[in-house]
Amino acid sequence: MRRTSIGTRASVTGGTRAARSGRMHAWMVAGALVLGTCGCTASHPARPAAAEPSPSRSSMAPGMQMTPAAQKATAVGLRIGLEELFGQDVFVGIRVTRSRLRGDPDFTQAAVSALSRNSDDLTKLFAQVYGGAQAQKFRGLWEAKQQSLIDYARAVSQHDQAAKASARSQLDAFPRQIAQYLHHLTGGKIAAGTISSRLRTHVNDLMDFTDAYAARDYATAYRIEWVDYERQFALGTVIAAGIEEDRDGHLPASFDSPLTRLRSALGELLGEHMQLVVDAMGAALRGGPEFKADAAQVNADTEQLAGAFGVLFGPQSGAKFTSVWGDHVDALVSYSGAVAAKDQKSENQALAQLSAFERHLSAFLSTSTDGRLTAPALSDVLHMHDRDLVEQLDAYARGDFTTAYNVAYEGYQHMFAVADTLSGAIGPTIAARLPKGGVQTGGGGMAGSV
Amino acid sequence: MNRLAAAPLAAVTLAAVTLAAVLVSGCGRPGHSPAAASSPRGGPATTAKPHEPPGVAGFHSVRTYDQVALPVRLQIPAIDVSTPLVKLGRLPDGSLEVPKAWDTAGWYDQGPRPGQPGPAVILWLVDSRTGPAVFYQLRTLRPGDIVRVGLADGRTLTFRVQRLQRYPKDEFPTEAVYFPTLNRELRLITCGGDFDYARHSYVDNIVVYATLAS
Repeated sequence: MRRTSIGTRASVTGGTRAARSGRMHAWMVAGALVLGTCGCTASHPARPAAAEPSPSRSSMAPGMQMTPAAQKATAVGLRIGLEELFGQDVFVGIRVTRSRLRGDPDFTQAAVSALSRNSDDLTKLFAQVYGGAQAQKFRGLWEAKQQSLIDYARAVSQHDQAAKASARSQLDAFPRQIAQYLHHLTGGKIAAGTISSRLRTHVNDLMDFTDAYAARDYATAYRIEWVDYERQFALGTVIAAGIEEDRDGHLPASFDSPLTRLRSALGELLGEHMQLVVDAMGAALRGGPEFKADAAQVNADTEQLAGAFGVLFGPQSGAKFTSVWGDHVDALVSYSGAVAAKDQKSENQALAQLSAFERHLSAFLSTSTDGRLTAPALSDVLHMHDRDLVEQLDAYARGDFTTAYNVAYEGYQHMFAVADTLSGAIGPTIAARLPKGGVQTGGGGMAGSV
Repeated sequence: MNRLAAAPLAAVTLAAVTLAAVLVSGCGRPGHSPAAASSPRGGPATTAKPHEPPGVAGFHSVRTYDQVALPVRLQIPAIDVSTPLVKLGRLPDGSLEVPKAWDTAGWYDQGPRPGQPGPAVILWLVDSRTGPAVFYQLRTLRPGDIVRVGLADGRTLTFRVQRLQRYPKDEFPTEAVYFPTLNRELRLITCGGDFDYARHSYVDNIVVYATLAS
């Protein structure tokens, strides 16, 4: 029932490779359709031709989904891809930790598979720049960190102090090892000290998360997760910049252009929204005691998104966005509660509320962007996002954790396609409203010495 | 997004929307089992609650977002600047309005406020017709220098200078300076370069880029 009602606009059932590939293709086509009536695609750094065939997710690295040839990441594609994947590593890795602490082997197995998939995608991205052999070295180092974190979580769950100390020792060595690897890989363009410092903070964050979660201090745990996501997202920027710098330290103009920065920032917030809502829905479903802390972080992300729209389109638009987006979040939580309670009527009510949200937000964004985003197509894009969230919850509820993780994994990456689409329309809209030219801030009294 | 730096910002209610009540209605009907019971492999941690999970029925998504108080004062210790701030709009030609008083700086009130996501813009005269104004020394700022902005609610935000750029006015990079990238940043703008006596205008603008530190 619920799948039929949420999936009427696209025949995606989730769980199979063909279905996932089809979902990706649908996202790409939808992105082209959303912007199909405006001329704003030409200036965008990595937008696909509408008729370009979609490569399957298995052969395509994140950050490249909008690149037609998918041969080698552009500088912007590399940046977005590394931001996306290093950020995703935080959430996916923490899901492994949480399931390990809860003593849930089925759930842990699916979470580990998702973590491995993230490593696959990171490795592919490095391989495009430096070749397969170098990328495999990265993978070995990166997965050693992940294994050490799993060991740490296991040690904490078993109150095994010796194993905990051993895992901590392994994690202490990791930042220096991978920083030196990246330093040599880039011919010294990436400063080993900078990366080592950032990664040391990262592993400390994750150990602190583990300790806090084990102590049932969920508010602290999720606050740490929230901050670490931002830090690792920024790590992606730093590493991409080091890779893309020329010998004189110059980056391609598009790498840090205002439009790229807007796209990056929207991707960060929308990707985070996806991850946090997945966790909040899961906690709501199973009656997890961490729901309140999960939900607090969802709200924090919503506040930041609203603040962004308030700056982009004015305070009234920020308030309007918050209202509509709040409807979206409320409906998703309501749906989770209804599934938990096996309350079909409430499930249907929540799905109807999601449909209303899709109409309202698409109309709002279409108006805000002076029609650059077309409301019907945008509504379909939002529907895909809702469908991802509902599908992963449904899969979770029936114990199909592999499907749940796969849908959530791709749903996160799809948010970066949404960010690309939004920034491609918002950018020209905002640019047309900016002040013009320089300013006359001198009288000439000090001419000759200014 | 600099959420660590943004954390102290106060939340101010902008819209008291109360639509959420209907969104959670109908949940938690007695007699329904929690989801964990429906899992054939027993994956999610099971609880013995007869009703829906705790906290769900009472959840309402936030309907507010961080709003920063109006900026009222600018301080730049490195060049001994301390001045009140006035609001600035735009001139008919689309360029930014300029402070009318030589001893008062202004901020562009149609863009982000200092501390909000995006580049907040503060302008000041480099000189008057007869002598230096306080942004006369702006060109001497260096990366790492501190810029403080006092807010109407009594708080003070600290920005750190990242770089200084000089642009010919006829090649002013509008998007690089004004485009709202969602990073919490500050732009300090004044004039520089040669003085064109025929047009009664300096030929360049100097822009100081700073980011929120705390």
